[in-house]
Amino acid sequence: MSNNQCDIDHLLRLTVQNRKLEGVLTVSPPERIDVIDEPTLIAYLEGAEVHPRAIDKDAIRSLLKQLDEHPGKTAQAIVARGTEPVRGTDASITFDPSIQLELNRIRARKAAFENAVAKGTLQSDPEGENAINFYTMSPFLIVHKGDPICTITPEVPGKDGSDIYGESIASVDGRDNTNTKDPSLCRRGNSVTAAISGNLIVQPDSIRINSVLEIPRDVDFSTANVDFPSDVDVGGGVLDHFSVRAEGSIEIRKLVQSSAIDSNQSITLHQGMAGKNSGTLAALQNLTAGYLESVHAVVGGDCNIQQEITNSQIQIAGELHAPTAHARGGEISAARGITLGVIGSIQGVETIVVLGELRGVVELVRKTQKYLEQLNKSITAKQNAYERFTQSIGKPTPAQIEEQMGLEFELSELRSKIGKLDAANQKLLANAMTRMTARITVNETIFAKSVLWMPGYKAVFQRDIRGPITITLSSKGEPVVDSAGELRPLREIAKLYPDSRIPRIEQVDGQYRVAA
Amino acid sequence: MRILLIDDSKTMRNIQKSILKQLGYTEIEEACDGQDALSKVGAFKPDLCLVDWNMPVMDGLTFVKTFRSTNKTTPLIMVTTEAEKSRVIDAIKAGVNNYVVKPFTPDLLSERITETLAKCGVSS
Repeated sequence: MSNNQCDIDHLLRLTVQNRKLEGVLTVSPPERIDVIDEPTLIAYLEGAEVHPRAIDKDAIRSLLKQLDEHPGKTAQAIVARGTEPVRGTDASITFDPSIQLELNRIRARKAAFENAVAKGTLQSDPEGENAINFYTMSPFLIVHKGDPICTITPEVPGKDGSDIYGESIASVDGRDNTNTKDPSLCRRGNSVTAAISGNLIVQPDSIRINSVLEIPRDVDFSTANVDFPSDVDVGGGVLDHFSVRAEGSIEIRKLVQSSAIDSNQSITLHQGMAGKNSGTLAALQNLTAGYLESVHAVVGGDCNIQQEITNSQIQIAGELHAPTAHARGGEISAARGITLGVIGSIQGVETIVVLGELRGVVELVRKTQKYLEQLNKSITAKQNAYERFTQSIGKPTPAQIEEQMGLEFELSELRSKIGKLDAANQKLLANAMTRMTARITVNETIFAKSVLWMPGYKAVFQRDIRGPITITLSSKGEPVVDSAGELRPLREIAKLYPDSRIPRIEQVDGQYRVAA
Repeated sequence: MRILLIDDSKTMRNIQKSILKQLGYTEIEEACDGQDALSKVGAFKPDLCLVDWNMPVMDGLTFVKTFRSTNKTTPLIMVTTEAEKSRVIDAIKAGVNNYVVKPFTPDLLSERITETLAKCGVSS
C-alpha cells in the first residue's frame, strides 16, 4: 500500500432507505485520502451489489466535492436510486351524451322535488321557464334495447419498478371496476348498449337495466306519469290524474283513483279502481280487478272481476268472468260470453249488458255491407250504359271501339273489386262468428230494469229473476233461457224487442251473412 | 322486363297496364304519343313496346320508322283499330313485329306478347 493509500472499505458505509429505492453512502475519512475518487466509489457500490443503472454519478461527484471542501469531515449523499413502480389507471365510463343529459335532468328533478316537498309547494302548477312539471317529468331513466349507454376507457396496467440492487418492485395494475357486465347490458369492445328495454339504474357500484319498473309506493308526484317499455309493478296505488302506460303488463296493488291505466298486455288491480267517471283502463290482453267503480274500460282479452262493477262502461273482446260479482248501473259488453253474480239492484238501477258485441268488427261489417251495395249499384249502372252504347252503334268507329273497351274494362274492374270485397267480407263474418258468443249466466239475480242486448234482440227485465239462469240463442237465433238443458223462450221472463244493435251473423248455403 | 305503352288514350293504357300486371310485368312506362315515346326510350330502355297507330303529335307508324332507324332489335307490337290488310302490311314494313287489333281480349294480348318475345328471342 502506497503513501496516502489505505484499505478504504472501513471508511465507507452504504445504507438503504425508502424501500431500498435509495442508497446512502457515508464517507468518514480521518484525513484527506486521494484514493477516494469516482471510480473507487463506483467500484465500492458495485461491490456492494448496487445495480450499475441505479448509481447516480452526479451524486458521487457532488459527494467527492464535499470531501474536498471539508477535508476530514464525514460526508453523506444518496448515490444510488431505484425506480418507483407506476400504478395502473382504472377503467372509466363516459356516458352517452343523451344518457348524461337524462342523468342531469333526473338529478335536477330530484333536487327540485325535495325542495318543493320541503316548501309544501308540490301541488301548485309549475311556473317560470325552468319550472319542473312533476306530472310529466319522469324520475326514471328509460332506455330501449339497442340504445347507447356509455363508452369505457379501458384500464391501464401498472409499470414495475426496481430497487437499487436491480430487484423488481411489483406495481398495481389498473382495474376494470366499471361494473358493466350485467346481462341487461351489451358490451362490444368499449361500447355498452342496452341489451333490454327498461329502467337504467346507475349506482356507484353498478349499472344495469331493470326490465320491470318497480314502484314501491304510489304513482304520484314522486314518480310522475309512467310510460314504460316493459312491465310495471306498483306497490301502492295511483293517484287522481296520473297515468301508467306500459308495453308490458301492469300490476297495481292498492287503490287506483281517477287515472289512466294502459297496457299492451294485461292489467291486474289487486284492489280496484274508483274512476270517478274519468278513470280509464285499456288492456290489449286481460283485465283482472277486485272492483271497478265509474270506470271506462276497453279489454282486448278476458276480464275477471271479483266483487263489483258499478256505473262503469266496460267493453270486452273476450269473456267476462265475474261469477260472484255484482254489476250495478252502467253498460257491460262482452263478445265471448258473460258470467255474473248479480245484474242490477233492488233499487231498480238500469244496468245494461250487451252480449256478442265486437264493436269494431260490427262497424266494419256494416261499412263493408254498405260499400258492397254501392258497388253493385255502380255495376248495374255501368252495365246499362254499356248495353245502351253497344245497341246504339252499328259498325263502330275506332273511337267507339276504344270507348267500348273502356266500358268493358271498368265493368271488369268493378266486378273484380266486388269479388275481393266479398271474399274479405266472408272472412270477416266468419271470424266475427267464431269470436262472438251470445251466452250469459247469472248465478244469483237479474233485477228488474236490467237490459240485455244480444244479436238481433233487446230484452228488458220487468221483474226480478232468480238465478242461476243461463240465457243464450237457440239454433234458430231465438233468445232462450237454458235451465239445466231445458230451453224456454226468453220472452216468458222478459220483454223482448227485435233490435239490430248487435247483428246476428248466420251461415246459409256455406255463405256468411248478417241475418235480416 | 321493361314495357313501354304508347297510346293517346289513358283508358287504353290502363287496360293494357292492368293486363300486363296480371301477366306479371311490373316495370311499365307510359307515353301519350310517338314523340313522347321517343323522349323516353333512351332512359327507360324498353324490352318491348306496345304502340297505338292513331295519335296526335306523332302517330304510331312514324314512331316505328324513327325508332327502327336506330334500334333494330327491340320488339314492337302495334295495338290499333286499323284492321285493314294494307295497313297491317305498312306497319310490318315499317318494322313492327306483331299486330293486335282493337278490341282485344286479355288472352289475345297475352298470346301476342308471348309469341313476339319468343320470336325475337327475348326472355320474359
